[in-house]
Amino acid sequence: MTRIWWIALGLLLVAARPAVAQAPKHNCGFCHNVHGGSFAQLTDFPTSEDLCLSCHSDAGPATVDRDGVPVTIPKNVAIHNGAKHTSPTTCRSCHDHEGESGGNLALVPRTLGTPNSGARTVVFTARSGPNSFADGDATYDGACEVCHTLTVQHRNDGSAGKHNAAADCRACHQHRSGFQGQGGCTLCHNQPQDNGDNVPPGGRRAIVGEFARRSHHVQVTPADSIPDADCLTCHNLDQHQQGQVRLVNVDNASIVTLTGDPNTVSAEAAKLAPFCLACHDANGAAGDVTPFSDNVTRPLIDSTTWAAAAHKTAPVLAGCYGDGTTGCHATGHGSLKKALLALPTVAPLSPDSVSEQEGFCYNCHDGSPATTNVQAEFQKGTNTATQVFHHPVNNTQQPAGRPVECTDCHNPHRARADAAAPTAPTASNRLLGVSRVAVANGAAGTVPTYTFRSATDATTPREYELCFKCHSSYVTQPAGQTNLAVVFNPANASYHPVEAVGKNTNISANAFVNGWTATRTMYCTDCHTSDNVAVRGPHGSVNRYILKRPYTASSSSRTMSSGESCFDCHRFDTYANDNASNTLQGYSRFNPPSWNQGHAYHVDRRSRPCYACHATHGSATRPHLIVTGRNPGLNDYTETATGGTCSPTCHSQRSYSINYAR
Amino acid sequence: MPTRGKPMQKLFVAVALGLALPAAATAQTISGTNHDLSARGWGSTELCVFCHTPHNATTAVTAAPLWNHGVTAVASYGTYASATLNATVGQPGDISKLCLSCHDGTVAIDTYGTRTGTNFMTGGALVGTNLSNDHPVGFTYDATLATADGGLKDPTTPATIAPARLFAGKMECASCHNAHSDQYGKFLRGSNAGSGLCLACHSK
Repeated sequence: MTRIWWIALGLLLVAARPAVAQAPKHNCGFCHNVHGGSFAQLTDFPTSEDLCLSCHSDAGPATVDRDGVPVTIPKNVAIHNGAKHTSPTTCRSCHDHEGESGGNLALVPRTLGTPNSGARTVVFTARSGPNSFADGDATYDGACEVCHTLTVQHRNDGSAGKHNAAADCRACHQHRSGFQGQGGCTLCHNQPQDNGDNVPPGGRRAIVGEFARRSHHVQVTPADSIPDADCLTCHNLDQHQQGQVRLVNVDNASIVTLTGDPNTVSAEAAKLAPFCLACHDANGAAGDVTPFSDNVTRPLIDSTTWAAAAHKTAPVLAGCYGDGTTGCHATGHGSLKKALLALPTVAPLSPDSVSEQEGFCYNCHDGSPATTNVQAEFQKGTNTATQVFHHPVNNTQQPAGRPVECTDCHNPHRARADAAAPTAPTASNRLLGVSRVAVANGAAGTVPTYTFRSATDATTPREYELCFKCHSSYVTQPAGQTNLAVVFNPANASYHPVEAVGKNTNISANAFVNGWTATRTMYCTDCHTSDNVAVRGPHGSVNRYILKRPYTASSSSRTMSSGESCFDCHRFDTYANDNASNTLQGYSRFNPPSWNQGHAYHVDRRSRPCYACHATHGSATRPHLIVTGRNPGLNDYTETATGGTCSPTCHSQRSYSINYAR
Repeated sequence: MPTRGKPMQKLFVAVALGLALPAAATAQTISGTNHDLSARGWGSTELCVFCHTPHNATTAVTAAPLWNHGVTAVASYGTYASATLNATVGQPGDISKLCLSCHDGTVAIDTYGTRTGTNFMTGGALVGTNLSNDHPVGFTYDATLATADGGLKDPTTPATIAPARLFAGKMECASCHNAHSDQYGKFLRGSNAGSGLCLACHSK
C-alpha cells in the first residue's frame, strides 16, 4: 500500500507541476474546448483576435480564477499595427503557446518570425531591466526590439537610438493604443532626451516647462496637463522625431518646415511670419479665434496693417522671430518676458529694468539700428529731484495707478511712418492701432462724454484722444492736473486749437512764425515734444512739461526770450519786442500803432510774461485765453468790438483800442 | 463577439481537487460518481452490471472484459480535422466505442444485459456522433508524429506522457479518461491543474 501511495503522489506531482518555473497564466482550457470547440484547434472563436478579446476586452471577465488564484486581465488591448507595418499583425504575431513554456512572459514565443529579419530568438523574462522589452544591450532580442527595423528607436540591428533603454515600454507605448506612444506630448517633452544621433542636434527638447513661464501660449495649468490638441494646433507630427520642426499654417494647411534656428537665421524667421499671422489675423485659426483649450482669444495682429507696419518693412527685421534686434519674438512656447519676447530665457531685472517693455524696445530704439535714440529721450529730466521731463515708462517713476508704457501710444505691429505730414487732429501713423478716448463735447466748461475706443477701433484716431486716456477726467487725475478734455472744448470761449480751429481766426498770419496761422489746428505734440527737433513726440525733453521749448508757469516779472515755448508759433517781435517796428508790432491788435502799451510794452518794457494774463490750454469763459486772478495779472477783463478794458493788479483800469478788426 | 459559452470557464471547476492528496485514497471507486448508475432505478442496484457481467458477457467485445452493455452501431463518426494536424485520424478504436456506447447518444444508458433501455445521454456529457469538435482519438501517436508536429512529446517511453496513456499506440478516450475513477473530476486520468494533463502530451 505504501508503494501505491508513492506512485500516486509521483503521478500527481508530474501532473500538477508547472510547465516551466514561472506560473503560467493561461491554461489550455482557457482557449481550447476539448469536447465542443467549434473552430480551428478546438476553440470557440473563429479568429485568435476574437478568442483573445473574449477575455482581454472590457466585456470579458474581470479576473480569471486560475486554480483559485485571481488574475487581473489586461483589458482593451489593441493590435499593434504601426504606420510602417506592411502586413497586418495578429495577436499571435507576438503571443503563442511557446511563450510560457519557453520561459517568456505574456505568451511571447521564444522564437518569432519577424517581418523583415527572419526568425529571431526572443528573451522576455522581465518587463523592465535586462531581458525586457528593449533592454538596450547588444543582443536585440527584446520583445519590442526584435522585430523593429524601421523605428526611430530600438532597431534590432542597433542602428538607431535606444531611448529609455530597459524601461517598461508600456509606460508610454500602451497595448491598448496598439503600442503607439501615448500619454500626450507633455509626457515626453517635459524632459530632454538626447540619444546622440544628432537628429535633431541635442535631441528632444524639454518644452513643457516653457509653458509655465511669464508669457506663453496656452493658458493651461499645470503645463503638463496641456492636451495634445493644443500642441497640434501649431505642430504637425507627420515626421515626428525626424529632426525637423514642422508647423501647420492653420489657414491653408501648408507645412512650415524649420531647418534651423529662427532666432538666428533670418531665412527661418521669414518662414514664421505667415505661420504666426495665420492665427493672429482677423479670422484666427481658420475661423477659430480661441484655438486652444484655454478658450483665450488670440491677440489680433491685423495682417493688412502689419504688412505696412514699420517693423514689418524695416530691413533689419526678418519677421516676427529674432533675437530682440532682428525680430521681437523668440519663442512660440513661453518667455520669461512679456508677450513671448526675446530672449525668452533672459528674465527682466526687477523692478522694471531695461529688460522690461521699454527696455526691450531700446534694443533697437537707442540709436542703433533705429536711427532715433528714444532711450535718451526717456532719460531726460531725471536730474530734477521732483520732476521727470519724460513720460515715466520706467515703472519706478510711475505715480501709483498711472502706468504708461510704449504700447500705450505705439502699436508695434501697426505703427508706420507718415507718407505726408498729417493734419491735426488726425493722429500720426506712428500712433495707429492703440486704444484712445474720444469725447463728445457739451457746453463750455463742462466735462465731455467719453467714449473708449479700443486698439482695433476703425474710426480715424485723433492724437488728443490718446492724450485724454491719461490727461482727462476719463481717469482719476492727480490733484492739480488740468482736465484737458474740458479746456480744449471748442464750445469754450477760447482755446488752443487742438480739437477744432480756434475762435480768434482773424489774427494776422504775420503774427505767427513757422507757418502757423489763426485757422490751423494743432497737436498737443506741437508744444509737448522733445527739445531735440530730430525726435518727434512727447517721450521726453530737457524742458519741464515735456515741452519743445522752455516755459515758466509763473507771472512773476522776468525778461522773456525768443526761445521760449510761446514764440515757437507766436511772433516774438510782435508780442515781446518793444523795439520792433510798428509794422511788426501792429500784427497784434493789442499793440502800437493803435495802443502804445500793448503786448510788446508789457512783455518787453514791463517784464510781464505771457503767463500773467493768459491761460495755456483754454478758457471756458474768457476770450483770447485771458485769465484772471494771477498776481501780477488781471482782476477783470471785458472786450468790446473795437478794444477792451483791463483791470490789472499793476495799475488802474484802462481801456484800449485795437489795430484791426476782430 | 460570439456569445457561446466561454471555453475557459468549463475547466475551472474541476481543477481545485487536483492537489488534494487524501482524495487519492478514497476516490478510486465508481461508487458515488456519475458512472454509478445503481440508484437510477434502471433494473439493478448493482454497481458494475451496467457495463460488466460475470456471466453471459458479449463475446464480440474484446477491448474490455466481460462486456454487458449495448454497443453502438455507428460505423462512421465525424472526425477532427485541422490544418496543423499531423496525425492521421481514423475512426474511434474499439475501446473508445465502448465509451461512445453511451456518450454518442445512440444507445440508451440503461441498455445492458437483456434490457433495452430508454434513457439516453443528454447534456454536456453527450459527445454525439460528430467528433470533429472533439480532441481527436483513434490516431497513432508515436515518435514520428511527435517529430512531425514539433509540439508533442515523444511517447516512446510511456512514462513521458504519464498520466496519459495509449492503447495499441493510439490515442483513445481512455488516454485521458479513466471510467473507474473520478478522483480528478471529469474522470480524468490526472489532474489538469495548470493544464497538467494537456501538457502531458503537448509541449506548449
